[in-house]
Amino acid sequence: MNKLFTRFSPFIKVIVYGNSMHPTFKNGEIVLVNKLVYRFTKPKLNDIVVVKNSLDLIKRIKKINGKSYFVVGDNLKFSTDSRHFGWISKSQIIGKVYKL
Amino acid sequence: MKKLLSQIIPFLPTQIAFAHCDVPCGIYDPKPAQMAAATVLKMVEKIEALPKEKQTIDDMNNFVRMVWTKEEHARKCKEEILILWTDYFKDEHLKNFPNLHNIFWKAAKLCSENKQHVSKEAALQLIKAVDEIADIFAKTKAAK
Repeated sequence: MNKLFTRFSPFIKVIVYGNSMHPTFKNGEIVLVNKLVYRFTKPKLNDIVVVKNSLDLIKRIKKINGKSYFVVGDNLKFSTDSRHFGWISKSQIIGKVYKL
Repeated sequence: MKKLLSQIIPFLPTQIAFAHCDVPCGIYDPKPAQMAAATVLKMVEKIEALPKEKQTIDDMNNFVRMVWTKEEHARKCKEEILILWTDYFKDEHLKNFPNLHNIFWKAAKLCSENKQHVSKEAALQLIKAVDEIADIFAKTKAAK
């Protein structure tokens, strides 16, 4: 039931696990994710997004090439991101992140 | 809108998003292990330099802090060594460094020994072992 709610809720809370978004988001910080916004607008440079990869990741959009997005962590030294797994598509973006 | 959102937020579902580099990121460096090993030696020297008699409360406080720091850096050293051993080094490296597993195994054991004792000799052995690992690491990088 909770999984269903999480899947269909337009807004979800996300716990940031790890330090790759430091100093913007600290480990354990809770952020708000808007899952609807990109249905009506395009992701923009510097948007922080939750991305579906092998795991759900939180990253910042650093480059846009057509419909492909290059996402990186703010803490470049400790981040696994597009530098390793490559460009991602819009369909992999779950939603836009807002600080609470 | 903001007020409405703040009332809704507590009831929103929660999930985890990963902001870490647990997935293999290819970033490895023996430097943290070398620094941790050097810290272990420094703490041993500082503990040995503490007054043996008529210790003040401050001396006792410093003793506890130094032991704690030695413990923590020996743990960190072991952790960094194990990351290199299990994640960076591959079978292919064994061709050029057939003694690799033994070197790592001994270095990891030296970390434990440095936790158990206050021994300058053990700390120097640990530094030597970690430097040997750093040397092998540099050679594998140069070969790429």
